[in-house]
Amino acid sequence: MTPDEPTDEMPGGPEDPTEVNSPGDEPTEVNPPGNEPTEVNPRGDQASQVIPPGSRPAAAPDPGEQAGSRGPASRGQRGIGVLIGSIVASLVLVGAYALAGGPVAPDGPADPCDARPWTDPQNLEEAAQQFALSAADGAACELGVSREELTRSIADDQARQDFMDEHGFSESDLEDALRSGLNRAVDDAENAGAISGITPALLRAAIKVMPMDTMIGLLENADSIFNGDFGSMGGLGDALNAITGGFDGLGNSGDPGNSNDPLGSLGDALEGALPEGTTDDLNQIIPEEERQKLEDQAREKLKQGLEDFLGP
Amino acid sequence: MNLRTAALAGAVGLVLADSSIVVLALPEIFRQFDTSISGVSWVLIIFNLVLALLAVPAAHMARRFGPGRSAAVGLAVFAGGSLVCGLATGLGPLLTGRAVQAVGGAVAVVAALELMVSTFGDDRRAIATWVGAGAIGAAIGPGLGGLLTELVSWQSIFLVQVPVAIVAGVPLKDIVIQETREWKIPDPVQPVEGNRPHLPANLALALVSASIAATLFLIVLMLIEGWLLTPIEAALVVTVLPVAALVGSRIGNGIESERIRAASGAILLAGGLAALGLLPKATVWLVIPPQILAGLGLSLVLSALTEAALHGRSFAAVHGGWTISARHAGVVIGLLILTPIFTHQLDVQKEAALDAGTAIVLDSPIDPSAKIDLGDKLANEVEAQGDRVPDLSPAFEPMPTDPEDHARYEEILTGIESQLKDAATKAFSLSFLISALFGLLALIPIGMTRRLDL
Repeated sequence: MTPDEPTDEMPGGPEDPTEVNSPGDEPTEVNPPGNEPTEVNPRGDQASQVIPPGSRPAAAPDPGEQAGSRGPASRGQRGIGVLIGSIVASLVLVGAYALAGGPVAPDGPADPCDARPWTDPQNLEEAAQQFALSAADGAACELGVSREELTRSIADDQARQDFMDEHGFSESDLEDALRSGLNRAVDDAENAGAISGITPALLRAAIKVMPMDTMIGLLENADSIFNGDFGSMGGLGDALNAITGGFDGLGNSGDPGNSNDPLGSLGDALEGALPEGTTDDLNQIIPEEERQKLEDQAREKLKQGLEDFLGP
Repeated sequence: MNLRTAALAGAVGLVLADSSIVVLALPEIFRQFDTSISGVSWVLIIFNLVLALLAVPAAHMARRFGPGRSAAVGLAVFAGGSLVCGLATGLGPLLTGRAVQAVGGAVAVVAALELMVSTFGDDRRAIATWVGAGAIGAAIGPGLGGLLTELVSWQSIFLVQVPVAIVAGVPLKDIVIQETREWKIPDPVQPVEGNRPHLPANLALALVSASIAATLFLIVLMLIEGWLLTPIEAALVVTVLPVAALVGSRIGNGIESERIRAASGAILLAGGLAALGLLPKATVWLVIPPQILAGLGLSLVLSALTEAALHGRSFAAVHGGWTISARHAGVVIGLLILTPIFTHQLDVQKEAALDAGTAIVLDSPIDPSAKIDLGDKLANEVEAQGDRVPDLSPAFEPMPTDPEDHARYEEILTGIESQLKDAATKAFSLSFLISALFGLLALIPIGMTRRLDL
């Protein structure tokens, strides 16, 4: 192979000093004044070339000079050194970034099916917030989506419809999930002592018949559950108010208006037995007979409230 | 380096910078022309595609009519195309201008190589200068384009190029005159055994160019569109790349074996891109070391492969044309592969960022009704800012006056911004890793020689 014979090999090795212009050679494309501006390539490829005026004579620099006066062996070693250095530098950097936790990513959503521990609520607002989060978790778990996606989807009707279309959920799937979520929130609130007494039972009963909008309203603002005013829940809330009002009445045995209340004595018992935040089970406190009467009365009032709300 | 060589190097740098210079102007163009993302991506693709298709025919033209005259005509056409781009009032004229730029650019670049070879009288130095000018031009392009877009307008990117192209052509006056007097049309190039284009080198060039496209485009996009840096700030950060490329060319001068240089460069490029794909935190300082590796790598690999592709082959412009063709075909292929991956990842990460941001608001201690208000404002802001990573601070205005509430809102905003930045970074991750893979794949053709010339 002649030094300037083209090849698909990567040239330039010390044993293959294939510079086009070998040190000291005349440049191959010099155009002597007056001559045809042609250059004959060793392979017969005739190429015309004008040497630009003012061009330097083609004295090719000594490769040794280019390489800092080093010999071929030195340059070969330097090449190997650069190759090894490149591999090491790349591996070290990539390894360091991977070990440092790369690639960075936004925090993934928590699994809504995992229990979300309630912190001890310091006030009504905190309790309401935790109730809403528990409910969203429960509903999201039921649907197999994240709490965050579900929350965004119930922001308005269009978002809800888009969400259902995207996941292939029906209206009743969403309703069932919200009911399940609210029940989980009631459980969590009860377990944390944030609600007690008859309220959990009433809420569970109400949740069974609660329409979608009311459930969503409860997710957005659950204050009513903890401040005892269910008015924001619409007709159903009125029913619950009626019921809890009835229970309040139980405690007012001294009130002349309630003097004939057959359950007045129970009110006294409840007032004494159910301090705020207690988690004792009503079933263990109220005698069976009285509890039955109480439940019948509550059921009747709830039924009345629901009829008012739902219409004939 | 005399004036003509400097002008030629400047012309090569100018033309090859154009393959990447508009990357930061794309959002502005997108908004102004009310087009689609795929439509606006053609502003990049058309230039590289035409360059890839015409580089070899342009080289034959340069051979037929003389490199001096060809370079001058090429620069004039390039300036005309730039003017059309700068005055374009719609996407159609802009794409037309870009195609014209590429036609002129292809002729100017390949003719410049031939002129450099005859001026230096030394193939290796000429090729190194030609490749170096192109690599540095391409590396500077995005930052420079961002700077002009921010300080003036996207149109200024093109209008500035008109006088620069003309000035670069002035030193060619003498040679144009001489060619006009003396030029004799040469015989057509005969297909001679052994003078075929260097297939492995050109294939490797295409692969590393697909990789380099990512380095140039994605870093800048990540910094500006993902991390919301200003174009000037981003330009400062990416200055590391051309500086490292310059250092790389010095290192490369001391290595005789082109294959070792090419392999080292491909490995460094792949390592830098893989590190960018594995950023452990969305912090500017962590982008610097990968850029150093990538800059060193692109300089080493481009010069080595181009020298290998041109080695012992005649006519330099024709084989230079093949390298330009391979490189820009690689850029086009890289863009066509990476763009859908990248846009899909953006959508995925947008959802992830929404989840993370929603979680921050939901778990925050602010009043539930305030959460709903804030959620609405955030949703509106995301909607209003379209496909880009949103600046959500307007959604927090006015901030509560109560110090405790103010601190809570600040905490929410900081948390959401951090999550957005992480999501944007993650959206680029896969594209960087695929680009690194392109770089590693280039090692296959680099190794496809009959013997190892260590």
